[in-house]
Amino acid sequence: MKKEDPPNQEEFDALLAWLDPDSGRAGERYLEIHRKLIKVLVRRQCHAAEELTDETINRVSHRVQGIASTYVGDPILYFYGVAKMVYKEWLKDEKTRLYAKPLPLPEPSEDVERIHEYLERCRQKLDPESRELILKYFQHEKREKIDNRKQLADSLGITLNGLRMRVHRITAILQKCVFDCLNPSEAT
Amino acid sequence: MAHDNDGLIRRYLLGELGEDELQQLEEKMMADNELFDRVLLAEDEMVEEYVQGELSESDRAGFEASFLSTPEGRQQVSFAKALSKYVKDVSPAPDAEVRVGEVPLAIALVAERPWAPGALTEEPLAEESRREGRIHRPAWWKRPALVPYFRLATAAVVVLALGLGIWWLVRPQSALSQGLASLNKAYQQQRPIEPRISGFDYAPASVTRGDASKQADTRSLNRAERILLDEVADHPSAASHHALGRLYLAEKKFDDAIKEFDEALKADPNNAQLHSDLGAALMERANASAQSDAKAEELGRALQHLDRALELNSSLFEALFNRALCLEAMMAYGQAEDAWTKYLEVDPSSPWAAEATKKLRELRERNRRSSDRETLFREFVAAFGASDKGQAWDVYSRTRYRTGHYFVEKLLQQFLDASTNGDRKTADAALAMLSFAGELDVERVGDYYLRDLMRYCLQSTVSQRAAVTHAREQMKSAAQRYDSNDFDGASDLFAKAAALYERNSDTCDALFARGWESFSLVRVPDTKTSLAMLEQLSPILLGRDYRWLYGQTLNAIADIENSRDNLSRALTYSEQSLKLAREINDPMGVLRNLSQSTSFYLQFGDCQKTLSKGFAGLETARTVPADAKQVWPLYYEMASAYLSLDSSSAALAFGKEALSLAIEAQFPLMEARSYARLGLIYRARSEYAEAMRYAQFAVDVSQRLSGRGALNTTAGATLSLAHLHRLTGSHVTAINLYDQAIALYKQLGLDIYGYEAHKGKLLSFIALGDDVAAATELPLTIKLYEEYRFKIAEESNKNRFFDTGNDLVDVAVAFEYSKQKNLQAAYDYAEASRARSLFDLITGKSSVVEGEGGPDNRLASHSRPLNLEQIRSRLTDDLQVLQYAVLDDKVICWVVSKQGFEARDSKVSASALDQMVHDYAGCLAGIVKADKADAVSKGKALFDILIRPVELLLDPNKIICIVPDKTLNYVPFPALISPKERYLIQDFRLQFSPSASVLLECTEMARARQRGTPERLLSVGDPDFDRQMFPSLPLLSSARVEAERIAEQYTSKRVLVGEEARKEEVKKELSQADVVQFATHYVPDLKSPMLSRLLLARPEADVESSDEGYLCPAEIYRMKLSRTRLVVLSGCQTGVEQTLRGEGAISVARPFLAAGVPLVVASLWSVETNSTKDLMIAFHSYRRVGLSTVDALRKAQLKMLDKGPNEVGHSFTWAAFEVIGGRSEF
Repeated sequence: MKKEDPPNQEEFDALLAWLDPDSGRAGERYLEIHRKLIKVLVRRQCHAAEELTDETINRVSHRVQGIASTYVGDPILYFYGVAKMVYKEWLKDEKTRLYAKPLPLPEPSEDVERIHEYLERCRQKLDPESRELILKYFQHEKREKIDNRKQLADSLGITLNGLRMRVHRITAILQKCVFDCLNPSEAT
Repeated sequence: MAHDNDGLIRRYLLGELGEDELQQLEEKMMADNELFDRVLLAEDEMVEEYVQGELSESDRAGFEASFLSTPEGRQQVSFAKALSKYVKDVSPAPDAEVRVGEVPLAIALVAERPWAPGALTEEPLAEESRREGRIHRPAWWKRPALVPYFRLATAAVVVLALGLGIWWLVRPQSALSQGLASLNKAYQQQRPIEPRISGFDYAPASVTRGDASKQADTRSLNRAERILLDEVADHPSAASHHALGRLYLAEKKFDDAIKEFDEALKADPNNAQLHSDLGAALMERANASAQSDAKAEELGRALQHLDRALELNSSLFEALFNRALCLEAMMAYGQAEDAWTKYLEVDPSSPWAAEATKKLRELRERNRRSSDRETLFREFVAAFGASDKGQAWDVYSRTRYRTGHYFVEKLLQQFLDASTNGDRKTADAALAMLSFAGELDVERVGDYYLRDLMRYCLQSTVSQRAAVTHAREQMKSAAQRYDSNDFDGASDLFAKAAALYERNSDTCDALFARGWESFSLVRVPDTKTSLAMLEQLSPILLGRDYRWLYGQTLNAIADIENSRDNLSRALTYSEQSLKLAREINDPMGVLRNLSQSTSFYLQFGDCQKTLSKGFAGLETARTVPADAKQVWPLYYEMASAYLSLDSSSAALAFGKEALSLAIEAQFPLMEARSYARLGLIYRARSEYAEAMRYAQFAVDVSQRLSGRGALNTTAGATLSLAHLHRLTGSHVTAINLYDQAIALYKQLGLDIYGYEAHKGKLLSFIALGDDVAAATELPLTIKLYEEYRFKIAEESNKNRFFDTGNDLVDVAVAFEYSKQKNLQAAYDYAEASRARSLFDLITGKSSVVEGEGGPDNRLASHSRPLNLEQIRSRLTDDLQVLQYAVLDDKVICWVVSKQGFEARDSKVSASALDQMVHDYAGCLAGIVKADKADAVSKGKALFDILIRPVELLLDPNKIICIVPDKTLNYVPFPALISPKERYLIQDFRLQFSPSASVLLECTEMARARQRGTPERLLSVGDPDFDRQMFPSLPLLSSARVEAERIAEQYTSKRVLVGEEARKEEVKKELSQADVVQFATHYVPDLKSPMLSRLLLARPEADVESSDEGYLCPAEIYRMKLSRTRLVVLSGCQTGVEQTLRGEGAISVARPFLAAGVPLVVASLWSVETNSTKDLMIAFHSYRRVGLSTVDALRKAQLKMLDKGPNEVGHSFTWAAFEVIGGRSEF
């Protein structure tokens, strides 16, 4: 896969303008695209999802000035189309790479014990309500779990899906904190 | 609609969508935030279900393929696992809440309101009766008409009767009965565990795995608990421990239950019910364990107790019932079927029998279902019709046999037949399904074999198809020949088929046939040709992305390497093949590779790993329609492993299961081997008639086979029979049979078995007293044995192999010493077997590699140990080596010095010596209770055996370097007590080494570090270790004092205490220090010694490092400590955490020696921190005034002795420490 350079300032500004005339909203939109593309690529079992997402954005950035005026529809779908191409190229390279060398070893997963170690530390960084919520939410299993979560949602005055979303966000924060602790070099 | 989307999202997450569906959903997700969020939530939910084991088996496989293949997915899963564990740890346990809240409350009520009805009924009946006994007297007691003597006699009788009555009422059993009755009552509605607990009435089994007390009548349970706990406290007996064990078992507190049953068995070893309950507890603990590693072993122990129960009472219902359950849990299905049938013979009509009948039915149904490949084929056709790729892949991936894919073969045959017959419709249908399967292979796992084959089929001409049909017939005939052991014939036919395919441009089939040609050659065995072929095939298969077929070649190469005795290489190929099979979702391949590694680990003598791999294989076999031939090796090899681990019941069950499978498979090779193995199992059970019968069957069956392949079987059976004749004393016949086996193995080129035959032959010669023949046989056998040092590269496997095989060395030493009177040869054999891996680590090249079982040393070169002459010539004048060999009936003590060489022995059995060592070391370590006189007598007894025979040969002016053997690694030599009641250390200067060769190598290293410059000290003490990770370890404030006070004595130093003692800093300083002191905790890991932990300061969370807060042996082995001359490990048990026969003590001292440190001071047991501090400070102060390490430690030890009363009770700290390594001036 031939990689393209990151966009220059002008190209990047054009990209943001294409996403939304309001620069604040454009920034949010940009992050949303970034997040979604990574998720989609990960689900396709791509182990270089972030890299490919960056490549996708680079490519769109280089072309945006040419297409912005004529493109019809939600820009996010354009990004998606480019991401698919990037992914196919990567897949092809990956196959070549795979058989050029002995079979690669899967990367070891993070040690559950080590994550466990940092959880307490990271949980303490949450606001008190979230800190408690995360414990209550995951406290039970099977049938009890469902009942417990319904009660929890009722007590908070939100729907079950609302509760799940709230917990999703908290766990996302926790997960980031824990992995930042585990891999401090990658932390931002 | 939402529901539809949920299903779609779920399939998306499991990776089951086709490309079109996938793109549609992705587009929607990109544009629709709400849908995207739903996907995120569904993903969270699925990860949670996976972590909590709530996913179905097929979803689980899809999930793993989809999530675990990316770092993000693995991270997500790891995080979810950790979070789940964390929440469980942090949240209050519901179990604990109940116990804290309810029990005391109930007791309080009884205490405070004795009039309350509930409290009254809680009163034990015995108490009530006792009160009545005190108040009422029988009416006739005061009858005046009775004459005095009659009155006296009557009174005596009445007193006796009353006494008996009161005893009956208050006797412990009475309370026990009450407790057990309450326990039984507590579980009357639902029994807590599936096995039968003795004394429990029938109740339906609980279906949950949760808290058992929730299904119980809490009131009765509390009462039972109170009574039974009191009984054990007040009247400890086998019965009370047994009763309490049953309570714990019902409450699913398996560890506690096992502890109580074990305690009860000590007093009542022949209680059948007790064995049955212990068997049930072990079985339940194994079943509840998430770690599959120890499961098989624990189930084996459970079966052993259940069989013992039946030996004691052959119709004990509970044991019969539990035995059947246990065999089912062990996946010995045929044996389980027999066991249920047997149960029903003795109990045909109770509610238990109804359960047994149901079990039996399910088992038979399971056996039928698992072999039904046709059902799976129909499911595949249906999934194809519905374009359900997920379902199609699920069934398709489960039917890949080594001889080809079941569906593919079937459909291909249909296609070819229909094409030949002009039935285009059928041909097209078959082709469409094949193409569908081919696309699935490409899409899911990137395997292009079937797709390429389909392309060929589509393009092929009529004549080509006819030729291919003919070639396929040849392939079938070849496979039949292979199955009937005619490997020569099979390879010829495979070769012909391959050539025919090649001529007709059918490359895929040609490669497959060439693969099989080479697999057959492996069995011929013509390993050279087959290896050359496989090496040629491999790159082609890789290049074409024929991943499955490539995996087959890796597996076959592993077989070849194994037959060439390159065990490490064999294991590497097998692991690669296993990894690939997992990657391409090929459970049959996983099964085959696990079978292979089961066999390899057995050859290494690692029975635990054999069982763990075998059990994993059996679990895989449950998910696929595996046939008898595929699962046979697992049972066959596991039977041997069980036998080695003294689980002869499990060995017999697995041996019989293997035989049934061999007969079912109609494979004579397997049949013969199964008979032979059963023969050995019966022999181990001392059932010699059965043993001989089975061994003879083995020979008979193998002799009926024809072709070169049959030689292998005949050789194996002959070898087994030879072993049996030897073990039953028929040595002449045994020797004859060994010779036959040797000749056969020579013909086959299979050295590994040749070695076994030579060893057996040697033992027979010795038993016959034919010393001339034995003297000829011995060097040959040892040579074959020694060759394995070069064939096994991983240290753990090597050490395990030589630990198992060490009995041969003992035979050699005993023969040379006792029969040949060749003391030097005896010594050379002993020395050549000692600490060889350590010697290689010190002198040669090695690296730490990450294997499947954790880090391991890989030895790249091998050094020859020194012989007696070389040792003597290199010894310094001031050194004497006192080297031991512990044999079955004696201990040999050699005294070696530059000036002379002598040997003496003490007659003592190895087991008695082991007990004596355990007792005395235990006394000093404070583990074994003994009064002073008892301890002194133990110390003297050991002195008598180990020192007295050579006392006069030892020169008090020299340093005595002790080279221990086996159990002697645990002996506190400095504290052995002479008849004059003096400790050995008072009369001699002592140091230790694992072998004389290591001693001399370390002496060389010490010499190179002899410098005039001041020593630089690194003093590590009382690190701020992770208290959360090691909550039971105390803080070591005296270790801080120790580190600082020692440092005061050195001018050049670095002190790292508290939070400063971080790993990176310690590692950096280590390389610059001459002397290193570690005053910290040491936590041995008995399972993986490479991962034992020398505790350091816990890492800072926000600092960038790979610090875990401790140093492991694996890291120390990686170091090159070219400057360090002395490491002092003043923590607990740093000198020996386990011993291996041959290799000796395994400890944290060892990696320091391997890293180049010539001297290490370490401890034999857990030491008390304050006295250790004093000893260490004194030791360094003596070093600083110019004494050598050996003399300084001795002086410090003597100082401690002088300070305290000169008795055993005061000697434990000083006696724990010893200097290990070489002779040094510093």
